[in-house]
Amino acid sequence: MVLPPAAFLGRIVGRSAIAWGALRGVVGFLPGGADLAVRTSLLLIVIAAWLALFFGRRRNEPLFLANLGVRRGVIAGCALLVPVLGEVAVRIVR
Amino acid sequence: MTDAAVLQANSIGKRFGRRRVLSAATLIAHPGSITVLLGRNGAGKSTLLKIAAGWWRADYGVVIYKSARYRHPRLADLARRGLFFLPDGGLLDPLRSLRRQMAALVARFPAARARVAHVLELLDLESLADHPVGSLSGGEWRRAEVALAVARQPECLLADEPYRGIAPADAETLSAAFRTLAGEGSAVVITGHDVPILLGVADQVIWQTAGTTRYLGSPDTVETHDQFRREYLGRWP
Repeated sequence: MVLPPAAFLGRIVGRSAIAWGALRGVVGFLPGGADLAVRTSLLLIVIAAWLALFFGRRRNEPLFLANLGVRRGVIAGCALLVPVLGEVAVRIVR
Repeated sequence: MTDAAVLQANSIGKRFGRRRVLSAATLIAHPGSITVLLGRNGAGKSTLLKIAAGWWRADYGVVIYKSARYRHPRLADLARRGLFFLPDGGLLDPLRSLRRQMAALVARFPAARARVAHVLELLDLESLADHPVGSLSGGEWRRAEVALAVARQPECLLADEPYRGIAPADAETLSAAFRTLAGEGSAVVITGHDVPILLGVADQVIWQTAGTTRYLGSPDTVETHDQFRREYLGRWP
């Protein structure tokens, strides 16, 4: 498995972290937002990762990274990393 | 042409909705040779290139790259084995400089490090390499993308319309870069519509028409091919 170069990895992970943090912040203000159902958590994870990939695509990341030998699935995995760990951490803390 | 084909896309078919773009298209790239793929707008040149590069999926057909057969190749897998796909725009990050993106290439393929300075000089990009790519003109941006491809020194380069929007002087620079790559043994495939430039750089010409491909041979042969002249070239020259 070929990972993206460090600079790209940082950007992908950073974007998904910001997206997840922002979504968590918004949901936290909603009624019942402090204690999310598992399905809602999964939805947040998917949306955060999708946003990270969407903004990466606008910067031509998938094609550039594919030319470096990085598969799209690996990029998606990188984008999922922080939201998944974040949701798990929140549940453990609660 | 020095050797057996490094890349073959055989009997490729592709349909978008009801529209069949490719029905039995074929693409062959030989080491040390520049192949030019010509065809009218909508003939499927870019589609064939994207499929051969593993960026898009074909409905049917097979891609053979360095003797390995792929029903549905992936660009990332082919790129690890020496292929580089230069799309029609959309390779570089507009917010980052060419030099930083070259650094990412070097981090993945360390052999490129020794070529970066030479490639920037070859494509006249030394003074532009530290500016965000988005601040470059269309022609400069295109040269920057070609620079990345040349620095990689791929065994096979598929370049989709690299001359689009390029001034004649810059086109000569690009042609020199492609000839350099081919001279080093790379198989280079180029699409486009800039007929004089493309025939000037080509070793062999393929004509994409009605979803299929016809091998026309050398550029000299092309100019005497009646049907090609009538249906593609029109009144040129």
